[in-house]
Amino acid sequence: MSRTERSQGLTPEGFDALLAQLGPDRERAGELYEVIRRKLARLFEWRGCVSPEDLADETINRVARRLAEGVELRSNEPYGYFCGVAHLVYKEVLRRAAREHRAIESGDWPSSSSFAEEGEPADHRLECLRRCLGQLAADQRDLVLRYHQGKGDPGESNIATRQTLAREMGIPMNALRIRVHRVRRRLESCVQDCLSH
Amino acid sequence: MKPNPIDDELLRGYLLGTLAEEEADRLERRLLAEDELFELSEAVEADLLAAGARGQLAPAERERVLRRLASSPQGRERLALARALNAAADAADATEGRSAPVLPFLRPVARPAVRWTAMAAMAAGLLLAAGLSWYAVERPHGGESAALAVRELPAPAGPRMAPRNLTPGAPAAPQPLKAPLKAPLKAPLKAIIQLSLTTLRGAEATQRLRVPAGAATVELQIALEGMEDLKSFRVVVRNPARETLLDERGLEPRTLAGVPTLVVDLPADRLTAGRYEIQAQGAAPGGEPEDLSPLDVEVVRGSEG
Repeated sequence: MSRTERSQGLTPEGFDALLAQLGPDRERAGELYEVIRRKLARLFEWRGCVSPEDLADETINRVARRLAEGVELRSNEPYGYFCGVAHLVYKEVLRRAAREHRAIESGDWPSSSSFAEEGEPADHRLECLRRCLGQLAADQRDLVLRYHQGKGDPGESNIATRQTLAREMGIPMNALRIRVHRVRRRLESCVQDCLSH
Repeated sequence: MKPNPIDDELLRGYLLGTLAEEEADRLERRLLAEDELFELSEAVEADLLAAGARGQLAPAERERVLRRLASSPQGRERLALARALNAAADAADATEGRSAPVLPFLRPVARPAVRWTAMAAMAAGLLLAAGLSWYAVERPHGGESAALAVRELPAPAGPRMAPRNLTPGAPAAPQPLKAPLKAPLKAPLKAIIQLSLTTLRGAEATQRLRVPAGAATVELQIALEGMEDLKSFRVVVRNPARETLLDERGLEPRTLAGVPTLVVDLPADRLTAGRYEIQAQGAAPGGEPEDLSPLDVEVVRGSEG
């Protein structure tokens, strides 16, 4: 389903009402809308849904419809309403899956051997990653590679390496995680761009 | 609200689907409201995918990671990236050693003749204009990089541009030379260092930048070939401690020897030896700023290296 098709449920009135609830500055409200949409998609993804973006759009459409009907978000916690609607949408997904005898637990998930089945990363992806790593500043490249270095024994955790890294940098582990993640996000975007060309 | 130290365990449980539904609901409300917690959750997710790809998770956890985090096309992409990063990190580890600077995957790129032609013209123009007694050319490591060229030119004493937008506490102006130079130049010296930016795709490896002993000011001349459409630039220079040494916006290129060039001054005494990062953004009139490749330079002082 295309983004346009998914967005068909969002009427101009609903969209205006949504933006108005998200803030007086329409541009800022638009940015917040994008953040909420992205986060909702990730929440659905983390719940194991196969079409997280569609479900995020469905959630936003429903919220927008209710707002156009006069419902108001609590200004101190506007996200609660989105969350409530998202849970309803998620439960519908579960019920639908059950009705279709495709319960989440036995759905068309990758098999448990998928980690191993795909084996080595495809050459093209690896080449793209190499290029993208080459575009990073040296300290960032060093950071992300050291963070992902594993021990010889596949059963061993590399937590000790990461703790050492955090100590060297003088930051807590969670700060290190976030720092690495920001670099990884740039890489992810760069690799996607590279693969699409 | 900032994530607290126990949040990563909570997030791990959430991502693996082991939290009670009520607790997961509460956490999801926080995830929507708290950007930093959300970011941490994405980071923990990536860790789980990487650990799963390495076989570092218990079988039940691996199963959960696959079902919950790698079920969507986006999740499978993230898993593929995690696997590729693991492979790249291992390759770097094997070839470089853990303590060595990691510079893997240099892409051999043919030197574009036009760049060198233009740079040579620019250098020649500068030599003529400044009447310089010497210049040195640092070749990129291994000769594989075409993204950046560094030349060092001591300039004669003359009106110096004051460093701009330096961080608080920085010396207000370059210090005068404390000792005479071997060469019969009248202090203070300005070292002219030429760099060239490319667009993001062309970024290459660390380059060495030698600050001549006794230089008071370093003038960075950053050539902008092929970026004639960009008219306004921001340049940020970060020192080895990742502190911002210079952050200058609204820079407009000058034309030096026919090449559009950004010119920024730095006090030489603040360029201690070590690795520096130069980041730049350029914007066309009415356009959004475009990230240019960060330049990674290693500053070497005097006769070092």
